[in-house]
Amino acid sequence: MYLEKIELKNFKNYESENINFSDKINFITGENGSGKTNLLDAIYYLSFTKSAFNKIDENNIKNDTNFFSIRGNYKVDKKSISIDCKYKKNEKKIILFNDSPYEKISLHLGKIPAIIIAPNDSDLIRNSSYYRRRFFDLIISQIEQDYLQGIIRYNKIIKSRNLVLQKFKKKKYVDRNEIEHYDDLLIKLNHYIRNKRSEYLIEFKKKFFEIYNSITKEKHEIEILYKSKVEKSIENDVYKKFLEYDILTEKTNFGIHKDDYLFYINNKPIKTFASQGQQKSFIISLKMSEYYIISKKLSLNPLMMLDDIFDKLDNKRIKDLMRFIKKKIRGQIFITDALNDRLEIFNSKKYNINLIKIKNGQINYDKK
Amino acid sequence: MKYPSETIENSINEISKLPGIGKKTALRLSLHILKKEKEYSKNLADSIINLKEKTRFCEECHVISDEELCRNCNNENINIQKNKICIVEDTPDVIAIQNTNQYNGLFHVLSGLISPINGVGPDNLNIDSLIRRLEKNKEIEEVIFALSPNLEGDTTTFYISKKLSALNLKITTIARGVPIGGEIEYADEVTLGRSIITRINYKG
Ligand SMILES: Nc1ncnc2c1ncn2[C@@H]1O[C@H](COP(=O)(O)OP(=O)(O)OP(=O)(O)O)[C@@H](O)[C@H]1O
Ligand SMILES: [Mg+2]
Ligand SMILES: [Zn+2]
Repeated sequence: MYLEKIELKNFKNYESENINFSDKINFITGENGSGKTNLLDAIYYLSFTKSAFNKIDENNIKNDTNFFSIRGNYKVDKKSISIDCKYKKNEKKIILFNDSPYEKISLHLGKIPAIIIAPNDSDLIRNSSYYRRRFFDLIISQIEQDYLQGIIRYNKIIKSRNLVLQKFKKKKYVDRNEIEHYDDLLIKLNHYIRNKRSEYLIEFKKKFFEIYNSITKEKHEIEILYKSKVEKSIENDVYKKFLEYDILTEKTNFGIHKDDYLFYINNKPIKTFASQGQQKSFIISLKMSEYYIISKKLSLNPLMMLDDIFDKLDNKRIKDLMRFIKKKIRGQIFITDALNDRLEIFNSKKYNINLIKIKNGQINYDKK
Repeated sequence: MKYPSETIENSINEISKLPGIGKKTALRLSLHILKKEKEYSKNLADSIINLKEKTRFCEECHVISDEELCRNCNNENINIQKNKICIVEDTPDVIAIQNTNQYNGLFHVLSGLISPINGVGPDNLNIDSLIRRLEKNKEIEEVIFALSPNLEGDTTTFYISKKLSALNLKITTIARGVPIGGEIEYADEVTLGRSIITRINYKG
């Protein structure tokens, strides 16, 4: 599977641009602020129907215009597929698959699996549990639509339940009939989501240890633990038991929305005890394991986007990383880098690289 | 857009306020009405005015009605079976179910579904009047829930069935031959008809 061509209209700093890609390695260069990351983000939009960086669609419209559109032409098993993403201010976002809309946008997820490695991935280690849950949820969701629909339903029920709790507190009454149905549904969904998360982590970890050990020379003991208050068997009255406390706090306190994944290095939390380089290796291993597990489960290679991964690395490390990428990623790759001389480090002929030069949101088509 | 006549412009502005109708369609409809005889436009206008002026909600079942009591509730129709009552979200559901010709019992319109996200709680729906109706009407043996098969519909069915538990009635839901996510208003008559015949006992 690969992206042949993308058409951008009023997307971030792009006005109107058509870009063709190679099915192997695409190397995107340009000065800081020229639009390299924005181009990756457009590709990300077509897979995930949102931006990887700015969740508010309106902010991704080019300044002083009122809509953006992105169209991608893909080849999947020799078949052509087109995806459109259009957003106009104050209107509903439109996603088209082969020119026809979805019943609901979430059904698109997993159609064009993709992975991005970007500087803000450090959120996975440094930030709240939300980022770790989202990382693993996006892996499972791209493989199993049912899981995504389960998560969406779960979130909607929690939101509804919390509103009822707030009402109980404000109006000083409790009517269990208003909340019990949510409780019953939540128990089933907690059970389902918890089991999926723990099943996937087992498989994920096997690959993760292997990859981490292959990219670092030092021998570290690393570990990922799934931490959930939701047990394998959930008591039927768990929400009943917490109801008073839930009303007091005006929110639902039990459930998989409180889950976390704990990252350890040599038995200590990675956040506080690992060096920057070690954290970087950890994150790249997380993402490479994601790549591996999705390609295995779906029997196709996701698109791989690598934003600024060479930053701060010395020449030897860049060469090693490039060799590793070439070996492990069999599908299409997009790499951004502000310095195009780095291309010389790994001799572009050998890697058969398609070079894309960007200047101020425009492609520079000079002869190679 | 510019129009040679203010009257035409007014008519276009009003007609294009209807959902799904743009200015072009509105112009076409205006010109169509203009071509027809006077009676045609008068009947059309009267029927629209009557919609607002002559209708109200039935005091018994809350369906849209001309009188205090609708055609189902005013005791004129002797074919109506008074031992069953079907709970629906809104008037279009009543019309859809009646047109299956598979059900001729009573109805009760809730005027919405429980949805905290949309700010709708049990107090905003015609639930108290349903309970009063059931307490008063000893003939009713079965309550059939025909609400949308989604979170809001299921939550509403659950809530009301709990409220009815003391009344010792048979509680059923329509079989979900209705496509998942499909509102019953859009289900075709055959599927809807079948699902109202094969009802399922409700266990909360
Ligand atoms: N909605 C928007 N309208 C116009 N320009 C925008 C919009 N959103 C972002 N930009 C511009 O896009 C530019 C950033 O582009 P991008 O992040 O892709 O740069 P980059 O090439 O990845 O740079 P770096 O090498 O620093 O990572 C900024 O100059 C920013 O002002
Ligand atoms: Mg960038
Ligand atoms: Zn009536």
